[in-house]
Amino acid sequence: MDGIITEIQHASIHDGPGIRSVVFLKGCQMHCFWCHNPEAIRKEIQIWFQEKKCLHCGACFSVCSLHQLSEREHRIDRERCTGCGRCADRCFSGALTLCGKNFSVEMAVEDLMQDELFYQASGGGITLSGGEPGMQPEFAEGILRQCRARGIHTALETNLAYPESIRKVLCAEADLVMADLKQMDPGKHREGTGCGNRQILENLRRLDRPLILRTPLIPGFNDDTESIRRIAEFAASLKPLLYYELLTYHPLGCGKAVHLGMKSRCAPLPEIPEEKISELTESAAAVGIPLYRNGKEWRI
Amino acid sequence: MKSFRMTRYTGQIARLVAKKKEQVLEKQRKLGKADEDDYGYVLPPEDFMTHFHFPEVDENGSFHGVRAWAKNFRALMEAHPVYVDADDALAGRWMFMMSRMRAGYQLALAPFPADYSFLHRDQERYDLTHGIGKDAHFAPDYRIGLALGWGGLTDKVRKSLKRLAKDEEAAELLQAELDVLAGIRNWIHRTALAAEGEVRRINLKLETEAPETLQEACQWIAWFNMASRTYNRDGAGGQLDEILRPYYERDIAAGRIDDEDAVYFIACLLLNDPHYYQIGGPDREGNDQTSRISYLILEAAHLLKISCNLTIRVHDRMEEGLFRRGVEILLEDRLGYPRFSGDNALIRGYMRNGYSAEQARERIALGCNWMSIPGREYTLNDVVKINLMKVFEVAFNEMAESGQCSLETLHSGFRKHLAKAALCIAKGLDFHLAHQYENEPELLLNLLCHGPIEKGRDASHGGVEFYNMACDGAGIAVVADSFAAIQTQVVERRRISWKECIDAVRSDFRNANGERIRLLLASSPRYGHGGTCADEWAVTLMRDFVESFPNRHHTPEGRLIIPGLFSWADSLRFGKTVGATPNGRHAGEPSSHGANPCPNFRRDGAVTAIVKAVASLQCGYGNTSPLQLELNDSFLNGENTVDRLMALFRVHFQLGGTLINVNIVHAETLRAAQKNPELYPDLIVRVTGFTAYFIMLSPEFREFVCQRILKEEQYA
Ligand code: SF4
Ligand code: SF4
Repeated sequence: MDGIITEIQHASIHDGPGIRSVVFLKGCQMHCFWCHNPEAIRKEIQIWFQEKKCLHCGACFSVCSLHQLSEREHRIDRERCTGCGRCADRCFSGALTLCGKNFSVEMAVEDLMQDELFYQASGGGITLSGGEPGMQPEFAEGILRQCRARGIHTALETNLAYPESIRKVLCAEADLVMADLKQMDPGKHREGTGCGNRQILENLRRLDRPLILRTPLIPGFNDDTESIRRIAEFAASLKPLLYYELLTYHPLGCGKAVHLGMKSRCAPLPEIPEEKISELTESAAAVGIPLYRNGKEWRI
Repeated sequence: MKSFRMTRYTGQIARLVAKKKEQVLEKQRKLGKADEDDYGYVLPPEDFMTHFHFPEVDENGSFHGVRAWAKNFRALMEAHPVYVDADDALAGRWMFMMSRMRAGYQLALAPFPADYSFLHRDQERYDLTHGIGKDAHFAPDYRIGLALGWGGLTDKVRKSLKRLAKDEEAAELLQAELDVLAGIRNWIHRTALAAEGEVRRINLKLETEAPETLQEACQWIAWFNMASRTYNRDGAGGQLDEILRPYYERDIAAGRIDDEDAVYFIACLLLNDPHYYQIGGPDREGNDQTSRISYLILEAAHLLKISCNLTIRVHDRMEEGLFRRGVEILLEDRLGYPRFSGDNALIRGYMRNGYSAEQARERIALGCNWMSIPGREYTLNDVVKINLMKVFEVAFNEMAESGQCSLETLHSGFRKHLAKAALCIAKGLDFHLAHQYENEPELLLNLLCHGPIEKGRDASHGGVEFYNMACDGAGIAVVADSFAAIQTQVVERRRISWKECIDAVRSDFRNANGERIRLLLASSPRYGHGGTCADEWAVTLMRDFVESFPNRHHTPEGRLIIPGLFSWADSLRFGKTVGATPNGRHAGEPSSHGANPCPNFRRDGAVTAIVKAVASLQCGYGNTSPLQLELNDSFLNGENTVDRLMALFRVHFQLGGTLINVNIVHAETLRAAQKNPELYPDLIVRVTGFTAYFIMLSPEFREFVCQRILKEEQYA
């Protein structure tokens, strides 16, 4: 079984317990306007172009007409790009690379097993993230199952916006589920992410794996106490909940969007002021569930 | 261990630390840069050098030989300004370094047959750091001095002198030792008279007698350290917890002191001088020797928060609590201490040289990268090095000129030249050991070694038991990446020809297309990534280096050579003499650091990858290839960071790692300090084995440290 991965990141400490490796699967059914990982939205392999490194040497122009130099600007016709990678192969400077790579389950597992000793020593393991692992369910399930069979702790970062049948298959192989819930209001949810939240809520209610529920705090979308309180209350009703976590917005995705030519995603959102974040945190804490913020336990 | 809190001495310690900061700033203003350890010295009164003169100098203003060193040292001691501070439990500070006060010193001018011109050609060709004429860099056994005191040492020397009066070399040496001892005792006596109360009483006693209490033992060690620093910088330290334990336990049992007193005394010792001290680890039988005082030493450093070189010895039967407390303090203080040594691999490695497990367990990490058995082993650690980049350059140029270009030719050329370089190093070591005592005898370290006084032979001239000479390789990552770049781009992918590669490298990538070729080469696999041809090259080159020494790692005269990988602050210097390299490095840029990969070795910069990479480059004979880790908030923000770091260190040691130095720096602070160092007088960075005040580094060196830390912190 093959799949597409944007990267496998080793030595992560933010995606579950201990020292972990994270597989970022490419492709997502949501299109959140604040996305931290815009490179993982589209399923297809894309061209990653770092203008600063480009020498305008023309080597890529000679292999593909989608590259054009106009007014000293290197343009790429991304709409027609097939991600074949011939241009990147010619590029001397590393300005052109491919974003996304085909992996078999075995290749992915082999890469992950490199850090086996660290997982054992730290109580860590592997985490599937994305994009949305649920978009490549068989591939994702294959990695989880093989790792688990080797005694490695598995975690799944997911938005759960898919049918129950997929949830069952994936979650059965995950020792820990870290699910995102961004809004309780279905209309707002659809506005911000391009998807409704009915399936998500349904999946969450039926989940039987240890769960960390997370909400990214997004200016103008859910940075009001009402939104956060409602999610926290819902979280409180979930039996397998370990804790609820708030994540502050980070404009990390903007720099990546530039390299991918995703113009609408290049400008960072305004920052939420510190007092506001505290207020939101307090409103979640008031619900009386274990609470984390940015990876750290929140204590009043 | 039950947790420790200081309540009584906080005022004294705060004032001592504040004064220390002032002294650092003062040194920076007066002396400017010093790319090295803080050492703990203070500046002498301004006019001191206008009226002090060494009694024995030659026409060049320098001095050599046993007698001159002794007479000059004694004169300096007898004139040495006294220093006492009412807040300090210990008296004294040192102010001079004699080995740097030899105006016009040149080995070639020494009045003995110091002609090693037969080695010059290869020394220059390979830019060898040969160590001839270098001093110290081995370790004393403090227990000898603590048991005897200065009076007892004097008696011991006298007795030996009587016995060996007819042995000319011995008589000269022992006579010199008497001068040294008289000088030190004079300094102690005068300092005692300037002090008051308990400090005065203790020092009047210690002028002659052996210490009996913890405070006395700390003061005695401080005196030896200060005297030895003054003589030739030394700085080795020792297994501090075991050295102090008997005094501590006796004082506690007698109800003389409590833990707060103990921590205060130890803090004053650490403040006096940042020697390399070890805590924990196995005793001779392999049992863990962690005790209450091991923890108190850590707490003393934690209290001070100044430049400090403590090492926790990690091994199989380790007391978990000490390891954990060390990591907690490392994370909390972010001052680069403690560091951690991997004693399993170090012991195993040393035993491969034919030593017993008991002997190997006594060998500890006593300097930047170095290992030595206190008082028994002469090593010249950290001052003998082969710049592997230079050797590579010679081989590369030779291949280019021959026109016979292939990876095999290049590799066999590298090995051939490496063997020549290693032979030259080996001959140089023999030369050093034959002549050094006539140049600069180890008059201070001799006193605390087993043998020199008994035999009447300098430690550098047969006085001690073991002669295991260290030699370190430098720049291995640059060479591995260079081989990998050629293999990838010239041989396998054929993106450029041999000629294009050679022309670009030899023009420092400034020819037509040079920059393109440089970028192409630089985009090749790199050592540190894991599983690439560059990682394979690194291991191959490490083995080449280990095997390059003649006669199964022995000098022509039969002294063992123990290889390691380390470049210390030399990374800048080593880079300067080497032209561009095929990994895309420009001419003159620094060498890679120790066994660490080149910066940007991997896109995600995974700290697990670097931990494994450096573990794979252990030479395996008991000397180190340290892992230098730069960690930032992204690896440290989160829950259970202590456990994660412990896991990281454990895996490194499990894979054969030998020594871990960690920097935890807030990138913003470092950037700001780079712009305005004066605003950050107390910013401390771990340069390699040692920690240093950032402000005391030269601008160039600051830049180098920042580059390394800021580049590597993004990996974490
Ligand atoms: S990836 Fe292929 S199609 Fe896309 S720009 Fe490059 S060469 Fe053209
Ligand atoms: S090959 Fe690379 S460096 Fe050359 S023009 Fe294309 S993107 Fe720029």
